[in-house]
Amino acid sequence: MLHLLNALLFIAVCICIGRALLPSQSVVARSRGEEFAVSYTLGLAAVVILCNLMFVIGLTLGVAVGISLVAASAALFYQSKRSANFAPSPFANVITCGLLAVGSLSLIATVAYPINEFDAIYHWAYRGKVLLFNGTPLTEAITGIVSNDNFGRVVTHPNYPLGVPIIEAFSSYFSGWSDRWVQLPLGLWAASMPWLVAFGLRNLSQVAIRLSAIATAATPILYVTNFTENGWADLNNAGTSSNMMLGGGSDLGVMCMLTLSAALFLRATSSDCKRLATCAGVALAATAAMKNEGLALMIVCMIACVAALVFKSRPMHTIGFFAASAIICVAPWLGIRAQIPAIDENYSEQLTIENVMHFAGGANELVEKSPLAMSGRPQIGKDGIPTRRSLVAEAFVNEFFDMRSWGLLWVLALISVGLVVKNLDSFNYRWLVLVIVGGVLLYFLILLVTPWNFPSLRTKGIPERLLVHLVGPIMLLLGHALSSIEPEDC
Amino acid sequence: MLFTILSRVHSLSLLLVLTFLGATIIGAAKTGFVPDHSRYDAAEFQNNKGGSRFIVSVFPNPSGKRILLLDNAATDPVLAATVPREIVDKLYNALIRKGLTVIHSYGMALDEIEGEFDAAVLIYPSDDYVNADFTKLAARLEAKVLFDYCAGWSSADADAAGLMHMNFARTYWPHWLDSEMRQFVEYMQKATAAGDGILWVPSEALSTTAARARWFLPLNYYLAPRRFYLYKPKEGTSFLTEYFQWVKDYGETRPYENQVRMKSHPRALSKLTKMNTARTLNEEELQIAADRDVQWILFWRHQADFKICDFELVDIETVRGWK
Repeated sequence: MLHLLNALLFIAVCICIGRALLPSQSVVARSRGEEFAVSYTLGLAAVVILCNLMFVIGLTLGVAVGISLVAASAALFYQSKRSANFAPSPFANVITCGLLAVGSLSLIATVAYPINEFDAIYHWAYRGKVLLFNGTPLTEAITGIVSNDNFGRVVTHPNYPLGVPIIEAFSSYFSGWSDRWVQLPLGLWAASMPWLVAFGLRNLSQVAIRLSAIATAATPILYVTNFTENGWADLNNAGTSSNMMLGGGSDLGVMCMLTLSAALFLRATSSDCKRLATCAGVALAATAAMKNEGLALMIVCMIACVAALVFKSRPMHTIGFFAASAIICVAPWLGIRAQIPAIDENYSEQLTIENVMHFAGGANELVEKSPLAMSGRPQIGKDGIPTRRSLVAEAFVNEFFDMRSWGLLWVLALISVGLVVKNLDSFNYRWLVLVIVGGVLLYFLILLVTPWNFPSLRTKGIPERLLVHLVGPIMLLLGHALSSIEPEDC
Repeated sequence: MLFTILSRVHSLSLLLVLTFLGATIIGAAKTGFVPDHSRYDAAEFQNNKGGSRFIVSVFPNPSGKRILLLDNAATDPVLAATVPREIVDKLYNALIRKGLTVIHSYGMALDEIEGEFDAAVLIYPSDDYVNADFTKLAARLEAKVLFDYCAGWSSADADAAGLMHMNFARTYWPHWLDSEMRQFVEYMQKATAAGDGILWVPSEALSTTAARARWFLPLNYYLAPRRFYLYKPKEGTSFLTEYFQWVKDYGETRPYENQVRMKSHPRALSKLTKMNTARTLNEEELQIAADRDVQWILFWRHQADFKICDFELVDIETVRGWK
């Protein structure tokens, strides 16, 4: 019971802080549902960044928890002084109930089992335990994997970001660790998504908001990949395989934070609200604090901002606040990362022009040294080794047409991107298109130059686990596209 | 118009989503919201040739050894994880060719089977065979060995009766759900203090590159904040390619060479004294233990199936005393 209460306390702290960070409803209108989802995820982003800041200046999780509690109390007081006139919900009651039901089921499914997936246990929860027991990531438990002699501490991928571990450690700070309940705050990723999308689209038509929010909740990869691929066996074993996206992993965290950032940024540009732009930057920095890929997505968002400036309608001030807050807020994590051994995934080292040209020019796939990793796959002779680019391209195309994981999401995305020619005047439209195309291109390039055997990565859910990060911007773009054709079609 | 219709069609995926969420929650409720092996595919014996070499290799002189095959009668229902009849026949013929005596049980209750044997092989995971009284069975097995082709027996229960249990079936549940591993975690939680340092030391050559054999990962997680030290963890904990190389590299260092196996050292959990993994440490290992403020040495045998007989925790003072 104490574990549950501690997790609920974390959620409450995030909501209080998030609500206080948002401008008043008279400046940025939102419904109750949107307020809850945006406040929670924004507060969570702020807490994660605060914790990273504490760690980098040598303080511990306990200090961050204390400051968060004080901040939440102050936020509560501040909020009580502000009027709260919620905007009407964009959804009919039946849709609201449906979205709440799906969200609740996803939350229950998340905590139905204690953490029960390889990455969630060893890459994320272990780090969460380190933060809980040691108070900081800058400790031998993580940095001690390398040493001058041949021995070191057991830890996987030491330089993975601390977003999920911070959430888990905070959620068990007073109660002690619980493999089940540390997942509770993480169970709200998928549940928050439709409301974040609705918030980002609020200035558009009701039909566009409704269709986009429902489409978001209906996208299977928010919960699971390739479900029913093995027929009835998948039904019997549901929730036990690594295909489950819900749980203690961090891909949904990246997705949710990027969605929040995009939604806040879109509203900031349309309302010219610097405070909201700053919040969007905080959320973007939190994207980078969830997974290493988040840092790359942050750069994509920045480049998209610059590239989207080429046409008229240029919200320079908003972009300035967005970029500045994102860079400032990501700095603590970069400071920590610089002190942790970079092992296994050093994309900046791999993503060189020379490497890209090598594989783009038709270089062969790398040979997998481990016979274990090759088990179940046909052995390939020296003459029959396919090119890396063909394997990666095939994987992407397969994913785009995998209805079990994506529904029609990529078809809708393609049409929406195509409609940019009709919406060149809209900065938001241009920016979303650039983020999505840039994100897909980024992941294609990363996988093109990966030092690992690509077919081995494919069996581990790559690239779908990366592409899921882009669901939010795609749904926001879908809303804009639907709204742009509404007079004719909707 | 088409675009809007496509958006609505996409929303039909909600049916798939609700099916998944419903199946997940109902499935979890069936096992009390705790994952157990029943929620995964049944174990499978994957050696199509019968795997007679597993049995033969245990005996220095296999000729004349009596092997009890605990299989099913033709009329018995085929249970999940039952070894197919054609593979059992291949196993039978191969053992006979090598001079062993093989007796089928054909589903007969264990208590009704007469005679003495050297070893037993689980082919058919019926309740009677899986829940065998290992003490009684041990009294009837000269070599004290159990070969498990269905992953049906508990190696901890077998160990308690002095039986060496070897599983050869492929299991599909994740390694952190291994009940013997959980039992060992509980033992270590009691035996060691939260901040203790523990050095992993292999008792012999690493014999497998199976990913499941990386028991240092779950022990490190479930026993945090205890400090676990391992040889080149950067490679050992990494992707399979790196881990494969780690096994090869560690094998080449031969840290156990010229060390003395301490088979007389009393075992904490296992009853299999001959399987004791404790040994003396080489100079490098002793230095690491001193440098890292290590309180315990965890001797281990690198195997995919977690067996408590493959692990022995010994305090550093005792180990130092062996040198």
